[in-house]
Parts: sequence; C-alpha cells; structure tokens
Amino acid sequence: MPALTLAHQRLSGVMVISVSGELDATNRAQLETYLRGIRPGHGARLVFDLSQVPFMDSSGLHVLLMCTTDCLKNGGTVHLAGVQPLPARLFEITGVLAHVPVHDTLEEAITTATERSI
Amino acid sequence: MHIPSDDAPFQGGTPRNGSPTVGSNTAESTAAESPTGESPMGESTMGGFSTAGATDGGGPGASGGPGENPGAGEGAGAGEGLGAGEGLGAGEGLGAGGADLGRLVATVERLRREVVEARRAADERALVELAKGILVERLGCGPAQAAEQLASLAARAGVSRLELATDIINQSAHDGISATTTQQPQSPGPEASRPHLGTGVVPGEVARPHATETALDAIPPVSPQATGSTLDAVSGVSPQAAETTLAAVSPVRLRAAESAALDASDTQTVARSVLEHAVAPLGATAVAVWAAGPGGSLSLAGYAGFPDEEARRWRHVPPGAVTAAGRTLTERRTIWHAGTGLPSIGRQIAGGGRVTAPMTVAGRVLGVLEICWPQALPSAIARPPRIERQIDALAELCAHTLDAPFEPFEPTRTTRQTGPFESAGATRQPRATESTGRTRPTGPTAPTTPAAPTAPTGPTASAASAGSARSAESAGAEIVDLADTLADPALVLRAHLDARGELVDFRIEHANSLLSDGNRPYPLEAGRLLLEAYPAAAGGLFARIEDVLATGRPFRAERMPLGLSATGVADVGITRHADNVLLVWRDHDEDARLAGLLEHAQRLGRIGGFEENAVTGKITWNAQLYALYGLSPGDPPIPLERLRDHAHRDDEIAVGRFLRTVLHHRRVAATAFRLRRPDGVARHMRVVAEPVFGPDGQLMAIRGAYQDISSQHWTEVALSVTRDQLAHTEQQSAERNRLALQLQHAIMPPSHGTMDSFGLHIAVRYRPAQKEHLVGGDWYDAVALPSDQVLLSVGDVAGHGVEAATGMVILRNALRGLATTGAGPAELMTWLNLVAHHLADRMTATAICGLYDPPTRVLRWARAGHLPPILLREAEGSELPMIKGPLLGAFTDAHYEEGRFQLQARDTLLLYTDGLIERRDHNLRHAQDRLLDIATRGGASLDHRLDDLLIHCNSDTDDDTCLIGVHLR
Repeated sequence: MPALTLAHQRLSGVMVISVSGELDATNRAQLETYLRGIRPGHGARLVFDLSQVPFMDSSGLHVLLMCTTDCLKNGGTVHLAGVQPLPARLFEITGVLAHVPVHDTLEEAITTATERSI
Repeated sequence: MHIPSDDAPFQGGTPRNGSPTVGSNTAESTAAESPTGESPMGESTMGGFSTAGATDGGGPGASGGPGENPGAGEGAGAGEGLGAGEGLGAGEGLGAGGADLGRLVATVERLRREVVEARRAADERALVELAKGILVERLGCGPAQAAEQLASLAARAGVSRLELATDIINQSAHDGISATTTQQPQSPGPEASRPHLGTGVVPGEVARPHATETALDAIPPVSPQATGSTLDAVSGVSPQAAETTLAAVSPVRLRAAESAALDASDTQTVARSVLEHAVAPLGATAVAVWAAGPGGSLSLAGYAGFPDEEARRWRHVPPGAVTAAGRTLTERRTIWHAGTGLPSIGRQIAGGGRVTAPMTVAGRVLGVLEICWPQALPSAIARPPRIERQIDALAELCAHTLDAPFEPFEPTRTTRQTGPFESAGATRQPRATESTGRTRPTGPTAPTTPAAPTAPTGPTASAASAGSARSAESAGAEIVDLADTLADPALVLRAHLDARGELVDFRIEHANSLLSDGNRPYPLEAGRLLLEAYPAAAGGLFARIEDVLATGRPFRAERMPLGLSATGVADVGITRHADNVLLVWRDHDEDARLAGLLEHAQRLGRIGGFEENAVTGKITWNAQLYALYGLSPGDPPIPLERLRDHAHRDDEIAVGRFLRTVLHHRRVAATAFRLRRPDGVARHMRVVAEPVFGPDGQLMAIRGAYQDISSQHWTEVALSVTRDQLAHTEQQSAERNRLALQLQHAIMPPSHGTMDSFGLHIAVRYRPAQKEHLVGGDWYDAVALPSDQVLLSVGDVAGHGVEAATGMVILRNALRGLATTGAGPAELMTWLNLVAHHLADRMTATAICGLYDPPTRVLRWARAGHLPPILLREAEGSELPMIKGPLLGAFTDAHYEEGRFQLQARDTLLLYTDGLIERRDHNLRHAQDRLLDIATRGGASLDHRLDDLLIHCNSDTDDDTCLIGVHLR
C-alpha cells in the first residue's frame, strides 16, 4: 500500500495542505485521518497542493470532496492547485471543476484564497 | 655361589655407566675379612641398643638405631667424602701410571675399603644388636647371654652372626621386609628349624652381592653349602631358577638398609643408604626421597645418584605439577614408569626406567620413594612380585625417616630438632659431618644403659604407634574442641594400626555432642573402632577416610548416602588434622526438602490444603489455605460442610452438589465457585476433596485442596472475550464482504443476463474486484418503466465494501423509484443527488441515467460526473458529449444538463464504469481511445463485444467494472 506523504503549512489566513502520492482506495483513510487531525475550523481557507499527485481515483476524490463539503458548511473555502493531468481529467468528468476552484500554480491558489477572504 | 652378572643385568654386580663398583678381587677380599671384623663389634655393642629400648618402650631398631649409633650415617658421610666413584675412577685412570701413582691408588683403595668396612660394620652392628634384643626378650636372658646365644646359634647353623641376626629379626618382625623373604614364589621347601627360635626363617633367593661397595658385600654369599642343614632346601635356588631380569635383594640387605635408614641422621643419608644397600644390587643408579607437603607438593628430602645441580633444580615440586612421584602421591600406589614417562628428577640423565612408591606410615602417605634405573625396566609380567614387595618395603622404610613421630625419641639432641622435613638433602650438609665420630672404622659403640625387654612388635610398627600415641595428645585437644563447636555431627578419628603398622581401622577419638544424644542408629562412642561401631563404613566411607588420612586432601560430597546419618543421606566432609581425621556430616533431610518444595509449589500455584479428621473432628489447614480464605492462621478453619455459607449465592447449587458427593456419597469430587471472603474480596476457587478410609472402610478423614483460580479465571474470561471479539470482527468483516458481493450479485447477476424487448438487445457484464474486500458500489440497471420507456443506468459509488454496496443499492433503487414518476433524466439526477446527499451518509457517486423511448429511438440522458456513453455506429466509435453534471452527493446546488440523442437501428450504446479504463500510467483519454478501438472491432455479437472489452481493456486498478451494452435491432 503506497503511503501518502502529507504536510500542511499555515500561511497568512490560508492553510496549505500538500499531498504527495497516488491517492486511491488504499490510502484514502490516511488522508481522511490527516485532515481530521488538522481540524481546519470555522471559515478556514484551504489550499490543496496536488502537484505531487499523479493519480487519483474516485475514492480519493471522495475524501477531497467531503473535506470540501465540510469546509464550505463552515463558511470556509477550498482551492486546488497544481492538479496533474489524470486527476484533472477526473475532476473534469465528475464536474468538480464547476464547483471547486482549481489553479494551475500554488501561488495562484494561495493568492486567490487570500483575496477571496478579504 | 656366584650368579653370573650377565644373567642378571639389574644386579649391582653389573657395572654400568660408571656406577660405583669395585672389582671382584676387592669384593672377595672384603668378604674374606668380614667374619673376623664382625665379632668384636657385636660383643661390645650388646648393651647399647637395649638402652633406648628400655627408655622409650619402643622397638629396639627404632630407638637403638638412630639414637645411639650414628654409624651408618657417618659411614655414608665418610664414603661420600672420599667419593667411592671418584676413587674408583682415579684408580682406573691412574692405574696405568707410575709407581707413585700406583701407591696412591693403593692408598685410596685402602681408605675406601676402610670406609666401606666402617659403614658395613655400623649397619651390621645394629642388626646384630637388634637380634640380641629379640633374644633377650624371647629367652628372658641378659644381653650377654643373648650375645652368646647368637654366636653359638650362628656357629651351629654354620652361618655368620649377621645372617642369623637377620633371620631372627625377620622372624620376629613380620613386617614388609619379612614378607619379601617369606612370601617369595620360589619358596625353598620345608623350613628348617633353628634352636630356640621356633620356625626358622628361610632366607630368600640369595642375591648375588657381586662387587658393590655396600657393606653387605663383605658377607659371603649364603649358599646352601654354607648354611648346611638349615638351608639345604635352598639348593633349588640355582642360576637357572634365578633367571629373572630383576633379582631380589637378600633379606640381609634389606635389614641392613632398614637398620641404616632408621639409624640415619637425615633423609639424605637414608637415600644414600637405600641406594647403596638395597637398590644398587638391583641395578638402580639413583634414589630420590620426596617428602609430601601441603596440597600435594613434594620436597626433595634426600637423594643419591643424582648430581647436586639436578637435585637443586628439583628441590621443590609445587602442587599440581605432574611428575612421576606426584602421580604416586595422588594415586597412592607404586608405579613402574616406562622409559619415556612423566618428568622427574634426573630424567635427562637417567632416562631409563624408574619406580615410584608411596611412603606410607600409619595410613599417611608421607612421601614418595623414587628409584631410577639407567635402562628400561622389564614389563610387569617379567617382574617378579617379590621385587615389588621389596620396593614397597623400602618405601615404608624411608617413610619412617620422614615421619615426625621419630622426633620425640631424642629430644635432647639439638641436631634432631630441625626435623626431617627440613633436611632437604641438596641444601643441607649431611649430618654425618657434624657428628664427632666421623670415621669410626670398627670401633664399638659404648652402651650407656642396660638392656631391657622390648616389645614383641617389629621396629616399624612400634615406632609408628609410639609416635601417633604421643601426637594425639597435642593435636587431639584442638580437634576435639573444633568438633564440639560444630553444629553438625562430627567424629574425630585416629588411625588404628595392627601389629605390623598397617592401617586396619579408625579409632573414634571423640564424638561430638550431636552424636551423643542417643538417637543415633550406631554406637559412635569415643574409644570404639569405627568399623566395629559402624560396619557399613567398609562400603566406601572407610576408603574415603583412609584416603584423606593418607594424602591430606580434604574430601567433600553433597547428598552422599551415609548410614551414619539419621536420614541416610548427608553432606559429608572429611579433613585431616595432624594425625586425626575429622568426619563431619549434615543430615540431608529429604522430607524437609520435599516439604519445602511442596510449600513453594503450593504458594506459586495458590493452592491451600486441608484435612478434616472424621474421628476427632479436628480440621487442619495449611498456611496457604488461610491466606486464600483471607484468614489469619489462628482463626478457626471453616469446615467443608459450611462451605455453602462462604460461596456466592449463584454457586450454591454447584457447591451443594459437590458437598453431597464428598460427604454423603463419599467420593472424590471437585467444583469451582466464587468464594466470598470475610474481607469482601471475591475469589474464584476450585476445590477438590476426597474421603480417606480406614482399614475397615470407615471414614477417617476428608482431605483436599483449594486453588485460587481467580487470575486464571479472569485471564480465561479476558481471553475468551478477546477471542470472541476477534472472531466476531473477522466474521463480520467476512460477512460484510460477502454481503457486498451478495448484494451485487442479487441486484446484478454476473451471468450473461440479456434482455430482448422493445427492439433492444441488452447485455450486461459485471466484474467484481478480484479482492473481495474491494468489492465496490458499481451498478447497472436496465428496466422497462410503466411509461414503456426503458431506464438505463450505470453508477459507481465511491469507496468499497459494504458501505459502497449499500449506497449502490440505495441509489439504484431510488433511481428506479424516481423514474416511475415519469420525470426526465436531468430531474431524476437532481433528485438522486439529493438522495445521495441526505439519505446516505457522506456518499459520492457517479452515474449515467438514460431514458430510451423505443418508438422514437430517442435517448434522453443525464450525466452525474460519470464517463459519457460510447456510441458504436457503422464501425465507428464515439463518445457522447460531456454534458454538464457533477457527481452525486458532493454539491447540493448541482445542476444536471439533459442530453438528447437520436439513435438508429444497429446502433450500439455502451455504458460502463471506470473500472474498465482506469489506469495509473496512462491518461484517461488514452484509455478511452483504447476502449473505442476495442469496441469498434468487428465483434460478431454484442456479447462478444462485451467479453472482448472485459478481456482486452487493460485497466490496471482492481476495481469493479460494470458494462452494459444496448443494441438496437
């Protein structure tokens, strides 16, 4: 079971969560646990750095979307950055792109997340 | 009679290696002189030996010899001073020279002869005196009469007085030397009787005293002819009969050696005397006398025939060093060493055979006598037993020169005070040089005290017993004190010797208070002999004590069977303290040990025992049972029949059944119950009890045991719970996985289900994940609605397992239900999104929902994040457009677009889930292109197409795969 490398970083008003590895059914629980541990809190602005995620299946997407749902409920926002081609195709097919802002670069995502919050 | 030297290579008569010998001429001439030189000495010294005998009550030899007659020692000293070997060497070397040299040689020869004569005379004198002493005692006459008797006896027998004296001593002594003469194999037949002396002692094989300088060479060989009637039977002793490789020493020689040894002032002289008198005739060239020291060390107490330098090197042999003598000390036996044996003194020089014999006195090995030959010795078979006996006798002889008991006999002489053990020959001046009469050629020793009757025992035995009797006083008190302070039974033992000085038993000198309590099985009282008081000692204990006494090595053994012990098994210790042996033992109480063992076992096993006497009603509990019950040992024990009062209410039935079995049916029984202790603690106990019956079958007692099984119980409980949980989890897991699969199978039969209606041929394939736990939430559906439209759907709930399967069931059935309302696909998908969002717990899913209207062949469809269907038309494959619509369950505000597509006859529509194309190493686009390729291959039938797709679409994720094909006719 290929493990994910997970990290998060609090910048000014934004929390950047870096995910590295193929995100699928075998390790979705790891990401879930990690995100629960972070506890973004009310109005959190999350940026997922997915530049190191070459593959994602519906299980991985599910975790991301659930996190997004929770965050939105709490008045926060979620931005995705650096999405690689296969996950991007998944986002396209599943219609996620229409609902979750996706940015080419992390800087852009952070900038946007910061701007939106102001 | 001469035995040719060639026939007896070991005889002293064979000169080898420059060993001190004289020519045959010299020997003959000395022999001729001897009878005349003998008599005056014998007369004049008559009273001398008797003096000491009267003073000490010891044997005549022991007292008279060393005490008043320094003759042998001095003689040896003189001999050394002149150097017999040197003198000979000079004579040989210079003999070819001029007249001056010739005179010098003659002078040296004369002087040497005088020395030899002096030494011989001194030795012989002692023997004659001994014999006279014996006669005094036997005949009850005075010394003068005894001398007269001796002379007349000798004359009548036709032997010299010396011969006769030797016979008398042998007859009287019964010691080791006598044995060498009387037990010889070639016993010369009927014993000749001699006047006044009872049984005559027949001299042994007459060794050929050929050409050594020893004093006895002066004595003419006692031939059958010479001894006349008394020895006529000795005629059997011929050169042929004596064809042994080792010829024995004549009794005269041995007696002379003994006399000289006992007379010798120190061990160094003894060694020389032994060599010259006794073993040189056997061909030996060197002698070493070792004194045993503490811990098995050896000190060279005397030597002869070894260079001084060699002797200095071998002055001390530390304990543990393996030498020839050391081996004998350890093994307590005479050892004949082969040519290449253990290291020892003079090994490089002599290199030949040697024998080491233990020097034992009164059971103690005081040292080792080592005798060396220049050449290898014959094997044991060729060795006459008599030689071995003679060696042993010599060793015993030497032992007496080392034995401390000789000291007290002359307390006034300062030269004696140093003690024999200190007189290591190599470092000490021979005592002879200190004495006054250095050269006393034939002069008689003046008697100082009149003779007195002597003990009938031989000289060695009397000396030993006298010595040990005396040392007992000094050492005895301390060891008795020691024994009395010991907390264990202890015996102080002392060697008990027979008339010949042989150890035959141990006298109990003292038995400490632990043995005098009267409860002992054996009468171990002071004064008794050990073997008499405890005959079983002969079964091994005696040998142990004997060994300790002999060697001084302490003995210690644990758990040794010992009849003396009250328990039969004891830890035994045996140590030697001076002449005493301390035997101490600690009874090994097996029962106590086992009881202790049992107690520990019960404590560890938390077992308490009880016994209830059915006759007296007395109840006995052991300490552990009190502890189990939470009671103090003083508390009244709880009778078994009251057990019910102390058991948990729920266990009353079990306890009652148990009691009934034991007390009423009187059978062994066991049960487990919860004990309610007075301190409120509840313990899980197992109790087992059995009735004990007397000889008449009446109940004598109930006995049994309780075991606290609480920890065991709870461990078992905990284990079983864990086991159950594990089993449950495993079972649940398996069941859930099976359930997911069963759901899938129930809803979507994996068989090649087909549907032919409404002008449609529909085929489906479902391929579950290979790993059961990855069975997921894929679904397909194809059903005719009441509106005569056909609902086509595929979906994929995110995740795996039973949750995904459950979600699949919900969504699939919800969609079926919703579809009956007649709503369009987009609206159905919006509702389904709400279902996913609200009815299911955090579920996301993708789906395609299509409504096919058969009459118009129009397909209306909506997409919720799912891959669009593929249209196969005219061998061309294409994807339907990616109309808008996000996956289900993620966004509440999702909007679904409705697609509308006009199908034609022979069109084929493929709906599938991503298990078919999902790959990690290609982009999804590529995979879809591949799917299109395969799908457009000219498949013969729809089923074949679907099979081809399942086979050839190389997805590399083990995911569920659903595939539905719709072919328009």
